[in-house]
Amino acid sequence: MIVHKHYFRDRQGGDAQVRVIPSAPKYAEEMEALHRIAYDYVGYEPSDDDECMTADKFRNHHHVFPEGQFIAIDTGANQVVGATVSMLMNHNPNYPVHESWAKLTDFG
Amino acid sequence: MYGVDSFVHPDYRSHGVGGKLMEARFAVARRRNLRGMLAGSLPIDYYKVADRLSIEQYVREVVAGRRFDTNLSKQLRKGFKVGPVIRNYAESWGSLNWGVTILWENPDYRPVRNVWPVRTMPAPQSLSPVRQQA
Repeated sequence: MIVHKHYFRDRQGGDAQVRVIPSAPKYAEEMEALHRIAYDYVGYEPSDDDECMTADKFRNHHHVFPEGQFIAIDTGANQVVGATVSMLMNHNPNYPVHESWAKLTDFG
Repeated sequence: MYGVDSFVHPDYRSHGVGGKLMEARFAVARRRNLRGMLAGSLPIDYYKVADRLSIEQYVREVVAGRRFDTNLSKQLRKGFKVGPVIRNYAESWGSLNWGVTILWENPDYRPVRNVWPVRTMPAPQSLSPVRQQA
């Protein structure tokens, strides 16, 4: 299922086509590699209590709430170039959130 | 729904890819009749003015459009409203670990009431008035 097709001229001057599609566990390793590039920590080995997202964490999100996971793929390069991860939570608007990202997500 | 993470390859930024990913999330919220989406935004350009502006002042200026924040300004354009700031929200040298609560309210949300149908129980037969035969 394609959620969005998106065209633009990339930085090399070519036309790129990016598709936003529901994510799947098979993309978890690619998503981890992209996360390292996007947040600039390539080569760093995260521990379990780091805020770094790992393939296992992406797979877990997909297991718990598959509907809330999406990736963007450059169809020409066949490469994951974006991703988004969501989870369901109860929130009362009368009580502001004060917790850290790590606490809210249990480190991802 | 809570936005855990959203990220785009540096070569593909500023081309609307992040916006399309966000639209996909909004569609899920609409489809599932969720109240909205909550997330913590990292105001990643705050470090540039942190010596002279408090985080609250900085966020107010970004919301008013007097300053552009590479992260927060884009999220505001997507329809998010800001809430309170959160100290030590996440590790980020750009935001000095500050986060800003951002909330998107689903315009199509319809509160669901009476999830379980409420039925009036019929009076037990034994308590019904008994007509006496003359």
